[in-house]
Amino acid sequence: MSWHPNETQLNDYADGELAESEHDAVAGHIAQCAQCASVVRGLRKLLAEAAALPPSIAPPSGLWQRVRSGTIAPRPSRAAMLWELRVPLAAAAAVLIVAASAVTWWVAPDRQGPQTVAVSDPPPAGLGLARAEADYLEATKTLLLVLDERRDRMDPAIVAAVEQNLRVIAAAVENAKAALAADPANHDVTAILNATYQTQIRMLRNATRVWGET
Amino acid sequence: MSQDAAAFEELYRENAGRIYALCLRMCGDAAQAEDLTQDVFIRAWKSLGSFRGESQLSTWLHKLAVNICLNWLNRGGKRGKRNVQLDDLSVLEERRHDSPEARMDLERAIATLPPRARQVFVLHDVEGYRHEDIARMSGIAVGTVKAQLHRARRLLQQRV
Repeated sequence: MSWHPNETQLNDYADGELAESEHDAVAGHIAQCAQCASVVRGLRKLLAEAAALPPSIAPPSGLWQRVRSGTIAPRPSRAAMLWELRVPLAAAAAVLIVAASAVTWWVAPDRQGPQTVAVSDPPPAGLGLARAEADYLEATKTLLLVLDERRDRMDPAIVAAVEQNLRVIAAAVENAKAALAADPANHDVTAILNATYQTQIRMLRNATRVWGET
Repeated sequence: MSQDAAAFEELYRENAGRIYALCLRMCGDAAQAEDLTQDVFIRAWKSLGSFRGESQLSTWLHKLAVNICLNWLNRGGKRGKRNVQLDDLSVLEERRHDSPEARMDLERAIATLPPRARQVFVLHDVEGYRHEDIARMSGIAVGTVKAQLHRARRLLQQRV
């Protein structure tokens, strides 16, 4: 047999979509050609199996919760989010103040109590998150350098307290970052993360100043 | 729960299985299918206001899912970060104990197709879209749709 339908014609024939002008010639050929008839049978078997696939597959059980949190779940208010983040922040601040006071008292020659700490200048308006994160990392690094320099002369309990404080601060930052990752378009969370960075930067710089000057 | 929220949950319960099946077959990756399904429902929630009632809500949702899957494929169709592949098909095996072995083989084979061939096969042979509709939605020529479909069928016949 010199002529065989091409792949497109056989597929169109199996789909029932072959143009009328070609249909009779292809059908007549298939009736006499075992090879082409086998191809069409194979195609029809595949089409039947595809059509029999279940239209529905149960999604993972946790998917509804993910969808719900992105749609109908009530969003926590800005105040609630701030409150949630304020707890670790307050803990961090308390530890830092105690540690700074103690170390100042410990190293001061006249033991007359901690010196007055000047509050850093407020951060420039519009400071971006990337810049804030870089400043936060730099402030942390600077404080750790000061700690390393003075570690031998400081009470181990105070060093431990400061290091614990840094971990609490890092956890607060991670909480805010996780909240932002879950809802990147949420301006409130962005503002909270930025505010968290600014608070941490201010505390870290103040601590560095106190310990750097003693 | 508000009336809207209750209605939306009902919409999810009634359609999630079909949307997840579509996404799973279109992307061939269980974790990515979960992400795409989530995306479909979140976008549906945000766009419900634009639903004009000219078709059934389930039809509108299905078209939205197809568009999201096609957009994902057009962006390069990167596999999900969690990198759970469909190759082991545990996700299907767990949920379809009654499925004939032949169907399991077909599901597995569909997942191994090249992305564009898989997309066209799923839309035409599983979901029942016409060549012209697939070409319009995908932004490719009808001839290209047919070529990809025939390629997919040829590969599947070799693999099943």
